Amino acid sequence: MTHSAILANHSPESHEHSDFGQACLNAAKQACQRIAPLWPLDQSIAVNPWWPLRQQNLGEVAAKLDVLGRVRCFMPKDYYKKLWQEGLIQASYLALASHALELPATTSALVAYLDSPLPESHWMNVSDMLDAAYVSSRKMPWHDEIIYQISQFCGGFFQHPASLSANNVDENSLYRAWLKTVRQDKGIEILMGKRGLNALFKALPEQPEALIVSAAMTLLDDQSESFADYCHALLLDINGWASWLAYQAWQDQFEQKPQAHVLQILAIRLAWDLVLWRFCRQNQADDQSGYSFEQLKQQFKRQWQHLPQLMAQHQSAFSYLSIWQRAFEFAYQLPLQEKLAEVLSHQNGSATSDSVPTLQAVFCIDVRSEPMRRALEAQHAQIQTFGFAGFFGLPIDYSPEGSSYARPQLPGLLKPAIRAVQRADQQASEERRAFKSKAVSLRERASFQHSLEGASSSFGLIEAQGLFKAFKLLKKSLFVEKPQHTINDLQAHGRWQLSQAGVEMDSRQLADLAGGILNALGLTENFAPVVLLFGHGSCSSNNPSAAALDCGACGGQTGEVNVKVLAQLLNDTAVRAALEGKGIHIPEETCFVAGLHNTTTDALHCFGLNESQKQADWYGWLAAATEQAQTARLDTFDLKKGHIAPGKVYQQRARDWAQTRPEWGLADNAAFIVAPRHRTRPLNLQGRSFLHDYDWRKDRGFGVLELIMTAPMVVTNWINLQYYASVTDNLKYGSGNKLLHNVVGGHIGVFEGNSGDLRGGLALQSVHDGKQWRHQPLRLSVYIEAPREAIEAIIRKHADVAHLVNNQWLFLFQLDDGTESDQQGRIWQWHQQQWHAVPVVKDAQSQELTV
Amino acid sequence: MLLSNVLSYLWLFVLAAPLLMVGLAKAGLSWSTLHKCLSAVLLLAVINWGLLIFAGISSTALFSILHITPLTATLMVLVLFLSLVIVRYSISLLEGDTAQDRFISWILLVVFSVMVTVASNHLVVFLLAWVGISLSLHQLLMFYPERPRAALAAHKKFILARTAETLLAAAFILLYSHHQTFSISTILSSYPAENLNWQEQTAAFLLAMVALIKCAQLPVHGWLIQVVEAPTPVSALLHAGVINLGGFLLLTFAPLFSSVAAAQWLVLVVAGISTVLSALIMMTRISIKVRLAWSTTTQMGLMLVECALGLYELALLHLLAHSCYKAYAFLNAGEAVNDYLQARYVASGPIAPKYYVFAASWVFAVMLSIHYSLMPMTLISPWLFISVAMVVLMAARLHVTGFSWQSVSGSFGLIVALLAAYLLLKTAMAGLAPEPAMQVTAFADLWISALLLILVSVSLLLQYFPGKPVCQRLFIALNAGLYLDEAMTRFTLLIWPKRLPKTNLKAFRSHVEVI
Repeated sequence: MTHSAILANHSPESHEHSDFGQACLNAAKQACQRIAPLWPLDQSIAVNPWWPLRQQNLGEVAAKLDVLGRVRCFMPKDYYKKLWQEGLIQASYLALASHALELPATTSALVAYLDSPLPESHWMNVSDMLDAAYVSSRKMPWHDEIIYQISQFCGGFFQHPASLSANNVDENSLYRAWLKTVRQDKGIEILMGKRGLNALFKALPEQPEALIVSAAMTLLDDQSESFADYCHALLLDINGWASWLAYQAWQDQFEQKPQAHVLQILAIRLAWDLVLWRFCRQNQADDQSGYSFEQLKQQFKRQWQHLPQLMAQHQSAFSYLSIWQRAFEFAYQLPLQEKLAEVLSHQNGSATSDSVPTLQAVFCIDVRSEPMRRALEAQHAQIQTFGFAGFFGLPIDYSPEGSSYARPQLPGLLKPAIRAVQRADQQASEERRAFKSKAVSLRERASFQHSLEGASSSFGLIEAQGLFKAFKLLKKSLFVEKPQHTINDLQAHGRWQLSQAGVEMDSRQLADLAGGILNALGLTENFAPVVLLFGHGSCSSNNPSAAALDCGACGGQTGEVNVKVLAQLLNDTAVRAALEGKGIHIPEETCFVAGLHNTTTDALHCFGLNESQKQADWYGWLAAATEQAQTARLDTFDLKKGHIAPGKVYQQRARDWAQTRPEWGLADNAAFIVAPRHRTRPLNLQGRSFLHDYDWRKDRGFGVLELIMTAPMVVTNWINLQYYASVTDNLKYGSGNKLLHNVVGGHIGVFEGNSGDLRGGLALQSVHDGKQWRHQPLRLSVYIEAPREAIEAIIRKHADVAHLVNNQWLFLFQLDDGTESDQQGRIWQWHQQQWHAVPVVKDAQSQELTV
Repeated sequence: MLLSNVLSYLWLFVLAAPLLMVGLAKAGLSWSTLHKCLSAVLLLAVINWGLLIFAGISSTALFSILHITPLTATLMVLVLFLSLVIVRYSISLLEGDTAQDRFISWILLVVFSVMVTVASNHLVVFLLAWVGISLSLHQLLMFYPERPRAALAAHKKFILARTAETLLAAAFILLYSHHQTFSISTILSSYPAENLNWQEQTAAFLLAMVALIKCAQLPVHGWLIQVVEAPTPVSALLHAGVINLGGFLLLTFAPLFSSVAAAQWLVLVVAGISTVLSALIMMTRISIKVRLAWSTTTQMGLMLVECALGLYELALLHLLAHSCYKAYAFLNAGEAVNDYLQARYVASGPIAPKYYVFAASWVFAVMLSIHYSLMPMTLISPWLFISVAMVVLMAARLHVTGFSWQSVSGSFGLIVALLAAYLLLKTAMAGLAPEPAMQVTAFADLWISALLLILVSVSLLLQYFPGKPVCQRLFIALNAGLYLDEAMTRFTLLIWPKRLPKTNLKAFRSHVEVI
């Protein structure tokens, strides 16, 4: 059914207004596009909450979101003030920032600005106006009640779809189920003490599109440009659930059957404003307050006219704040650039030695890999490490044998194309039995849990076995239980079977896959006898946000499946033979070993090693590297060095079911360096940098560079801005206090307690240690060693990359190795559509820094 | 006699230990050290408990205001054990938080008040400690005072707690005026009795009302559901410890309570209906903690019903088992995602009816043989509860593993083992719990059995026919909590307003000025 047909059916007045109606609908749809998706807890990946707004820059977005939803995109002024007083932000950085942003300002004006208040007027929805007009502590505010009602309803709809949705399921089932629920609900009238609300809900149109048009016609006098902004404000009010629906839309997009998910929740929220408006009109005045409908109408309509001014006012108020933020970023970038430039100017173009390394190890680009790689490299000069996206380029999903359950093992931007299933080896009957018994006991546990929580069976079961939970309490308190993961623990040593659309892949297809990965990795020659492929994963107990600590590139899972599949692929003789045809020769003695970097305990574990491998030198290096990395990391916790081995401490933290900070995850991430490892090997980057190995000399046509800039660079931007936003506005973009977390629908997200909106993003404890922030909100600085023209061509080719770079959602720099000019050691920044050499100073304190 | 005296002082020490810990923390000792001390205290309490139960060495009455019986000693060990777990949990949970001291101190003060209540043999001490529990718990519920919903729930709880305390005080005054003594054991020694006068009857009735309020029975349950707004350990402490006070009250005053039929019927009706409704409402909940909270209401309902049926040993078993279960479930609520994955992996759908039929016949056979060989059943309802659980468990298990010799024998073995545990524990509890005064009427037994059967049928209906209009209407009504709590919320706001976030008002004013 087309929209105009819907309008004709459901809204008789719409005929004469159909152009107006269509315009409003389009505006509403546009607003729905401004909400970023939220992945479920079991597949939690980082999302840049401003991804849909990337066509604007941070300053503009900050002003707009502040007006519409009181969202904070910068830190409070006190934060910058403290950095200024501590000397981290210096006058020279402020000068640089004001120059870069083309906003002239003196240092004293900037400092004085930190003491002035920010504008306090904001857009108000109808419900906000009623709340503000009648401020009473003796009634529930409408805002709270509306969020509560929508939030609880959405949870119910997704948890019990069969019980709440209408029988004829169509694309508007969410909105229709809501109508049905709210029309029957007598609680709201009782709670709010308002009679007559139910009748108004009964009068609402049956389709969301019709509702939006009818609301627009009631609330707007004439054609208004601002309707999309109003819709945006309403969605921000219920941002968590809107994001969950945006995730449904994101998944649909893969299936090529787009549905108007977000539009439905917008209609629901808009319906509330419409009902309150009509209620106020019907009663002429909100009875208790004496606030008349005329007043409401006047104020609301005046607000429409005033909105552009309001936006402008906020934008100018934020301009100095964006200078402070930029100066803060300079304070990180300049010292780093100084170090990078120094290494760069002392190395020759390509410094790779021709000698075959003794050991090669590939890690994820994750910032937590950097200290581990440093520790491993410190064991021997002939150890070579690589950084590569942790899903190792395998576009797979993983399905445990004997279940219909499957989970993606690749970045959320992509759709899985290959199904990976582990077949427990037929030969090893021991293995087979082990897997079977694990699977059976999982089923038995599930049925026990089901009965224990059942409405009528819980009584007897609690009496019969509740007392035995005392032993479980004791075990958990003494940290004797290993953290468990339902699905990961099922894995055995069986062979992996890869299939595409249900057909098993042959060795030629597998070789195509493997060849592509080796090329992207830049590992096509000089294979060491042992090549370790390390995925990474975390390890924590009783942690609903555990997936957020796992590998984001693997869809919020550990990288175990991916490395095991890739190792099998590259060790396969048929695949190797087919690879020869592609010019990749892997020596017969080279062995690929799958391993996992446990980021919580900083231990390196290898899968399926035989006894002789365990005797080898390299195996000892892993143990030594583990110890070194573990000791180095003690500083990040408030732990005393000494009597207990660090590994043991981390293990205890991982097993502690009350631990809110098993590890710091990717906190404090700030840079992404795309260059050969020898550019960064002499540096201690303090676990703040994503590292991707890339040698442009081997990249004919710059296909690999294009891949890096369109995939890993976007993923790192998503991670970086998730951390950023969780710090600047934990209420909107973070999940709040872990002490209050309450899992909704098993995996959808969390509530804080039982009220408010669905919460996503990082918890307060993940970025704050109780005394101070552990993540500095800095936009990502990306450094790429490749010719400037090549980088520029990719920016111009891909609109998304261009938006990110040009609107400074990340800063893009080029490391000049002197091939194109005699500028070796220079660093260039892409700024305002062209390259600028960045100032390099030996002494960051130097006053000559001003450009 | 000497041993008995020493033991008395040891109990006194155990009792005072939580208070002592708070003092030592103030003096600067670290919580991890104090936790070790608390573990030692628990060990001491367990030894004392063993001496009392197995060697029969009872303590002399402590200054005539405290009283250690097998029942109170058992409860003290339970409370101490739970507090040990919860304190350990809180140490990690609030690591680095400046409020850690305050939080754990209040937890220990709640624990101290509970232990004094449990051990007291004096009406005034009992009442004071009882009030102390609620007041110190209030501090924990208001741990984040800036959260409006948390404040609302705490206020609601505050009002109900004061009401319950007033009723309790009234009951105690009546008892005192009749018996002219403050000693609880002396008062109770004159029961069970017949032909009670109005004071005694009213006192029993009031005690039943207090128990219903304290156990959050419908329609005064709202606060219990809403205090999930407090940090997880507070929920664990409340749902595993404090909420049991209603049951403890009826267990303590069992001789009196079981002599007054009206009081028993009050509990049978209110708690009986509460049990069924909250179990059904629980099915509609969407978040783990709220499900657990509704489950507490329904489990407490059953515990009270068991008291009213005179099944005090079962009520005590229920109290202990539920405490451990609920403490674990709350503290472990973060594993909800793993549980979801487990269910997703199995993806079984509703249990096929044939498994129910099969399981029911097996369970019926086992029950019959227990009846004829081990323990004749005098009441139907308690056996129905355990049978339903076993049938559902066996059917659910067969449903996911399928019919095979192995799975049938496995699930049969499981239910036999669980039944054995149940019978054993039930027998053991009989030694600790009070004896019922008089035989319960067959009518009461039938009433409770009928309620259970209604629960079973409605829940099956909702599960198997979710799309039927009548089921959908019922589901929506249940999902709204049958609109029972809304009036209470309005009432709470009326007599104890909460503060609104100030920003609203300020923003509005500036907005109006701009326009």
